[in-house]
Amino acid sequence: MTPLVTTVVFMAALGATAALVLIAAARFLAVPSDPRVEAVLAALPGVNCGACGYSSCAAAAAAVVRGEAAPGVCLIGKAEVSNAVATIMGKEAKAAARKIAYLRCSRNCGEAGTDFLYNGPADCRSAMMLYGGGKTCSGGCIGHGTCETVCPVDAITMKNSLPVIDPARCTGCGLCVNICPKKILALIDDTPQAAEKKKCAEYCMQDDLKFEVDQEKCIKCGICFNNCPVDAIVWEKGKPAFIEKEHCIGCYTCMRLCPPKAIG
Amino acid sequence: MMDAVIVIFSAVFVNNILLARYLGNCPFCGVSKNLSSAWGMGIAVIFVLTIATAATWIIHHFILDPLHLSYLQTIVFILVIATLVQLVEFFLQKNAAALFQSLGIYLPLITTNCAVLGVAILAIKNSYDFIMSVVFAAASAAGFLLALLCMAGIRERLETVVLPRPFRGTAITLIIAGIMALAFFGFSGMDATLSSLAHH
Repeated sequence: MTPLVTTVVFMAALGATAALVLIAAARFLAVPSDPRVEAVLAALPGVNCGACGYSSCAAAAAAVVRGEAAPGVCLIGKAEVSNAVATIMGKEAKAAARKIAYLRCSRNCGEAGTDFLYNGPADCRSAMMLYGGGKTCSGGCIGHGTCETVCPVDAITMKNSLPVIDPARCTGCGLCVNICPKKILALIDDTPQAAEKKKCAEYCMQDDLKFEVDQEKCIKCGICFNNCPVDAIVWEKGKPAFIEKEHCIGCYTCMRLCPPKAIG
Repeated sequence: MMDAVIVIFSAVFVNNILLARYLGNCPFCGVSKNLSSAWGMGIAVIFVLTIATAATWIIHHFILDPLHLSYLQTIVFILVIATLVQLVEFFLQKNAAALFQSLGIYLPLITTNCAVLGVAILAIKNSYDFIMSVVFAAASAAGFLLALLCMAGIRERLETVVLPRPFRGTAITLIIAGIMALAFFGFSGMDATLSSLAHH
């Protein structure tokens, strides 16, 4: 036999063996999959943006079929997508509330002065590493426009070193919210009421603001105690709450949540 | 035992598959954007490289060599590795769903990775025995993971740096790869030193 014949015969035999093995494996190791997953996946936009919280459209489709996610899981797909998914799942379509990014600053951060001149890369995450950015306002926007850079749909423009979000363009993907080191951006339902709720307090620029509980107004509910991010609040059932000033970071959480408005 | 240590050291540092042999550059540039995907890719490579080298060693020594068909090595290895990875994927999907989920898309991606074929062929070329081939493959893959993680760590920090537009993405990645390769060049010759020490 010439090498040519040997080669062809050997490779054909090897290829056929490999094919047979794979066919057998596909037969015996097949995992039954729900045909609806494929159908839902086809109905989703397929851009794998991750805005829904799942790693890919495929993962979201699997979650919908498992019943873990609603048909309106897709945030960037408009009503058609959720209707199509709902039809496949045999459910009533309930459009997901449209989400948009929202800047929580209630004051114009242009008013904030600078503590020092930051001369590093013009990126908020980088500026954040140096004493949390150069602005006197410790909670507010640093203003280097990293959100503008990451926005895939150009819905954010920087004006007076503050991001301005175009609600018509925003798809609510949340990339800017995740990248903002100051967490000053938030995803909210696209309604005026939702915006009001997420807004930071008016006097956020006052330095060293510490809160106190008005002991007479306090209804001893413990909501402030349960929600304080730094455990600066002392409270026991039946007793008024007390804020330990040395631990308080002035985050306004308790003030915003207090039902009788006893904290100020 | 000492030989195994030298083979491991050599495969991880001296002849690092990514930085000294420059094999497997596609995942090195493509999957090094963040640490978590680099980690997933690295683990999948360790897994595939080890079983692929074991399989190709057996094929080479029990089929190709006796039939005097060693000149078909490259194409046969490609075929065997592709089939094997597909088979392993089926098997994992059925019997180890959790592992299948975590290796995810990386498993089929490495089917065509030249690092896998490269290590399989190098194991034959260096005339290692079976155990040593498997050790060599696992160590090479560990070296792959090491270099990939270093690269991903650097690139995560690079995200915040303003780069001239022509340097962004793959361009700067290749430059960093070159600098890292220079750093790893410092290891060169250490395996020879080690083995001469071991044999004295």
